[in-house]
Amino acid sequence: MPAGLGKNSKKVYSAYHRIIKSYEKTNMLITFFQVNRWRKFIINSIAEEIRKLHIKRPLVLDAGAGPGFMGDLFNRQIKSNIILLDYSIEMLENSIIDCNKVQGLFEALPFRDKCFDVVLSGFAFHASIDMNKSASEFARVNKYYTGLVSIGKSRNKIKQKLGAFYIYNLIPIIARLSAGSNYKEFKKISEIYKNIPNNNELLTILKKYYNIEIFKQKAFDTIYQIIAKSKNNKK
Amino acid sequence: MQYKLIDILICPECKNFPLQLSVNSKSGQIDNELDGKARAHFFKRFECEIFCAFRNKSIKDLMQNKSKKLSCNGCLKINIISGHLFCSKCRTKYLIINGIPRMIPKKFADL
Repeated sequence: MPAGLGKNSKKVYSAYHRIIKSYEKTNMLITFFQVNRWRKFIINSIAEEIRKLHIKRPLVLDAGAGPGFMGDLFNRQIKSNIILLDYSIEMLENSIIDCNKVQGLFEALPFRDKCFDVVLSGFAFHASIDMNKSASEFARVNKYYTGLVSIGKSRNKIKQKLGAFYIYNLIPIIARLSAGSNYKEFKKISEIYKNIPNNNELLTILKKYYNIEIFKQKAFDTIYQIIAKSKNNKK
Repeated sequence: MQYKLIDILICPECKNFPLQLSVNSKSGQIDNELDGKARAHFFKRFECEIFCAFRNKSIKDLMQNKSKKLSCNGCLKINIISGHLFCSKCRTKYLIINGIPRMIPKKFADL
């Protein structure tokens, strides 16, 4: 069975549609206001590398963009051509940046090879239907750097159980504060944790297509930050 | 969506490029006048790398015909609101609604 949501994707994707308005507020609460710090670490590190390459107005894909938080943060660092990609039309229509948007899936990216200088994905890669296919597609369209920050799973069994306890029991309670009656949708999103591979298995998948430059884990390893360099790039 | 997006979009089913664009409605003014700034911009480089959907020509062809009045600045001011993209290889049609191309392969359409 491939790593990823597989058939559960239908349930999870429909839940995402219903939580658009409370999405970021809940993200802030359940991460104890760390979500932007984790995103910024990826953005700042990649921006620094792109500056070294002297690329004028890099073409950046924000994959699984939601309202476009990653793209927006990157654009503040370096003026870029941002493309937002998401399965949810509602998310794209509520985007916070004025740029080109595309409805699509990670497993079949509708972009030509090596066209993006940077690929970013903030809290979305965990929702892949097939992580192996998604990783190969990310690498196919990427010229230089890919930055991922997402929900992960520790290799350590104790940390895994602590993560599961937080995700299944505490997140729905916290989500009640910000999402009201829609808190049940966050329970469906918790399905993700069951289906994702542990962080070491994920690294094995990514290493087929990328050279891993930075790999960090946070919050009992339930969050990972990865900066990867696409294989076969000349610079 | 801007015309320049067509320069990077491929068919998610069969990876064919470029897709044929058909526009139903768009917003923004087409700037036919080539001002100094636009000329400088043109001779420097095109906004698109391989295919200019605005003129429906490959960049290679456009480069060979530099005498024509061209302004990438004008094209960038136009937003395509509705229409569709068509893949001539697998004959799949992708709708553009509210400026967003819907590039979902058929097997994932019911997600």
